[in-house]
Amino acid sequence: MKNSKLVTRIVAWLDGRISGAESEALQQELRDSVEARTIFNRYSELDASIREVADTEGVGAFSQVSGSSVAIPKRATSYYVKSSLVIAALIIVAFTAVLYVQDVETGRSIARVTGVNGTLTWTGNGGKIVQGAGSTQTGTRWSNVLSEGAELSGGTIEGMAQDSWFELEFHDGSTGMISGYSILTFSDQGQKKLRLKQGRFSADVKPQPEGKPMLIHTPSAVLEVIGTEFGVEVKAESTTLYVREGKVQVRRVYDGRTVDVLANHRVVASADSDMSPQFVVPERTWAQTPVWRNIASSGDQDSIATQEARDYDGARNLVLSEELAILPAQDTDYIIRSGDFFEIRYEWMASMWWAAQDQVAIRLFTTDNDLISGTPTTFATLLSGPSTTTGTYQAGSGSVHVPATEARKRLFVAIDTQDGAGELHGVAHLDDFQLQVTHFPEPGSPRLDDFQLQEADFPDPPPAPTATIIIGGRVRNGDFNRK
Amino acid sequence: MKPIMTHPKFTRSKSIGSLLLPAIVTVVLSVAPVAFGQKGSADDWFVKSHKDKNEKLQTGIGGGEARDIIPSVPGTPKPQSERIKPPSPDYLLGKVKWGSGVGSGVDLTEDWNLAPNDTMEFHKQARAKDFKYMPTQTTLGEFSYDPATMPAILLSGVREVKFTPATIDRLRQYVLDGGMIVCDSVYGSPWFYESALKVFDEMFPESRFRVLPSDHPLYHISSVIEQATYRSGGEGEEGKPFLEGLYIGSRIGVLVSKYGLGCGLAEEMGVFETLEKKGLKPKAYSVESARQIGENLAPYIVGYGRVGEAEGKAENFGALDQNAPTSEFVFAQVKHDGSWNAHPGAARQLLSRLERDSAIPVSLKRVSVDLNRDDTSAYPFLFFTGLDDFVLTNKQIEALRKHVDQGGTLVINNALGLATFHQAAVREMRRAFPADEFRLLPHSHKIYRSLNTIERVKFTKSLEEDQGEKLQNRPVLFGVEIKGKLRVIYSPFDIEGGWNEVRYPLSRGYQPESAKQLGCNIIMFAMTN
Repeated sequence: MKNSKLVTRIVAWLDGRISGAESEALQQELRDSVEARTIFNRYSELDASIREVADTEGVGAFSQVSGSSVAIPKRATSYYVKSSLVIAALIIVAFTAVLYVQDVETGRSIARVTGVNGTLTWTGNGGKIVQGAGSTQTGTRWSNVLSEGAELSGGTIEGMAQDSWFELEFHDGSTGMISGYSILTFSDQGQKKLRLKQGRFSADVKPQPEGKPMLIHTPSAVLEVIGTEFGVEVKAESTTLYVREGKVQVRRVYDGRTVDVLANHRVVASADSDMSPQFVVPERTWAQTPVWRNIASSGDQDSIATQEARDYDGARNLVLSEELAILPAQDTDYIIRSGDFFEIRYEWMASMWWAAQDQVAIRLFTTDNDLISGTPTTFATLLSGPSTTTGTYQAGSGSVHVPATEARKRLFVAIDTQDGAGELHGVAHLDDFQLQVTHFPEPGSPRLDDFQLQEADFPDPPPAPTATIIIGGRVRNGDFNRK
Repeated sequence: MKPIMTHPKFTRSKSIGSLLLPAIVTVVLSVAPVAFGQKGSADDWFVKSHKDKNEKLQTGIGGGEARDIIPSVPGTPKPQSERIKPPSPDYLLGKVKWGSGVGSGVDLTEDWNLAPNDTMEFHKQARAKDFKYMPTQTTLGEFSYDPATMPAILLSGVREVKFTPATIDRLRQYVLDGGMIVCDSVYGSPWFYESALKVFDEMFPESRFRVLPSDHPLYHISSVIEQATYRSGGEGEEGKPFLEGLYIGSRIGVLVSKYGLGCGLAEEMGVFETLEKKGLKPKAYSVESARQIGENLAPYIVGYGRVGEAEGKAENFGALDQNAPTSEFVFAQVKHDGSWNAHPGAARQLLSRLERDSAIPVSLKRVSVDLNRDDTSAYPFLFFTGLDDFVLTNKQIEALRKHVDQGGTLVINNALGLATFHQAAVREMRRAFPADEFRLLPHSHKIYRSLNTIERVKFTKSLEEDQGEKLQNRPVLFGVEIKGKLRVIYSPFDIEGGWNEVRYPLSRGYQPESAKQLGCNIIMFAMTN
């Protein structure tokens, strides 16, 4: 009974015909009940799916009429009955819309593919790419039919693996990209309308025609973009928006609350968030990252070094790339002693285009002139092993006894990659790097380090060697330190 | 009744006036308070003690009564040379009349004398320990400024310490000659405390105040003071005593107590309630801790007064360009941010011995070098000594590395053998020579035979008593070999103090003959290897 009232209110809200009192009651229920929020999300997804189909197939005005098209019988008393009705309505509307599109908009290009990787699936069609335009909702492996430069009409692209990515460019120069397990539907019938059902989408949007901002629907929010650079991540019950440049307006679906998100701010739209934009420092370059620097041959200190997203512990993480242009390293300021034993540990996560055989490679090295720019001699390469999980952080570690030849030299460390698939474009994230040394003194006369001045004595037996952290926590770890 | 209607314009002008007038007055009255970041004024602290006994004290002494000897610390045998010297002065710690109101006829209750019986009780304690001294008072005008007649003076008060330029010069010379100034911020007044630090910092630009480490002789010379209790304040001191000293050589030339001592010495603690009722936050030791410190202060003044007498003798340093290059051995001593000149005059004594015992041509003037600035390439021998904490700059570290890489020798000495310097030396040498380990030099090492054959050594009384059994009269030197050569030598126990032939109470080091033999051997080894 309670649920039936809730559903009635939700449908009324989705229809845009809810009264003020009912709206207030609905919002109160959503605030109070997890179950209510779950039901609400389910219904709003259904509603959005209907709109998406219509938008994708070129029925620009569909969203305006969807309310009547998805009308729920007011006297329906069962949640399940209502759900069934909604689904039925969805199918009918989708079918109708497809037929309509075939008549009106078949083949019109709205964007061009500028990059693809990994397994992707294309669903829905109004353009050139998928053969057999009459068939709808047919999954197609893009690797067979799509390549850079292909022209696209509206449709839905779905990333099927962690390393999948897809990049397109609209004809006005705006670009967008999904990565990982993401589902994006896009259309442009004079106004760009996108739906991000899940995953991550980032875009650089050119100024849009007046009164026709780019709209991005997610299950929990609607984003209105005039012209800006931003990234958005959608999860089951939340939408996280990060604006890098310009401004994006966000409307939370469940209560219609709207906020403007300015550059370098992030907001989370979910039923229980306060919707207040939080300032976040944007991704930092090597030049902005303490201690570490990019010693790749290009030495580009302006490339991305760390980022806040996809972090292990809520701070920042190192963006590690197989590209030859990126090689983070640092001068540890540690002088190697004969008898040193080095240990490293870190957390890392395979990301886009990271092949199963690719590995993180920690290189310990010295140089001919004790400067990081000198000619290096790598005395240890400590490999992570292949990634065992995708999209999840895993521990990496290694250790080495320093060769006597390296004693008295300055220690440098580089966080490198080792390619295993013949493609140098894998991306991984690394966090909480730690390098420690334990010195095992060579036999000989008693050491000053062990001398106890007040007792004028040496401990018997000598104290066991203890490890000293060279990099780790807040010690020389730059941005990706442990919190 | 008709309410008074006030015109807004009038109200405003009145408001401005009412704000400005007190503000101006406040500014005029609080120039000094602003300077010290304090609320209120120094006069707020001027509260007379309830126990103004008006004790009859000795009058101040003049400058013509020089008697040049100070007794030894009780319980230690006097050297023969001392027994024939004249008796000690009658006075140990003279209380200086200073500040406003002096000479007004009520001097016993003026700023300098807020704890009227502090020195009386101090001397009673001292006499109980066989120090036969009399309490006395003096003024900065009539004071002799001669450590031989008055080894130490006490400045006690709550208001700001100020001296005329002429007095500053005389006080400075008094301390350099071996005298000691004790400043007691009697109620813990920040006005007195901060002004005392400032005045003496400026008086001795070559030195600076340091917190006395827990193993400082002042905390051990009579009774061991590891803990302290406070009547007021002291929350941040973790139950430890807190005294600051300005080193002249290896002794404290100026001692400042942030926490009041005098009331505790005299057991006149009632005044603190009055201060607290006024909203002030006094700082003072408890009676027990004040008396413990007082009990140690007397023998420290006596013992290190003799050190001051020896170290206070004028020493001419050699000029850098005067000595380089020559064929003579030059004793180059490193200046650093710690108390680098720990034993003035000691090097000269050693060099005289070296000149006597070896064929090495020796320059008797030591040279001080600043590693941040000076070129040390002309000095193959660098001596580095200190009493407390120090930190080397990167440039100093580079200079030390360069020195030993080029075949020079660096000798580091822990003057007085205190833990603070030892820890700093180990830390900084690790920075300077991170890949190298200091190892104990075996007794078969040829450094012990380079000039004198050193099988056994004699340690100072303090070290011998503490650790003689373990040390077994064997010298303790650590060394670092660089490119197969012993280039850095560290002595954790004081070898330098012994060169001066003066007894440093509680010093942990070598007796003079052993110290000189070791010093000569080290130099010979450095010059021939």
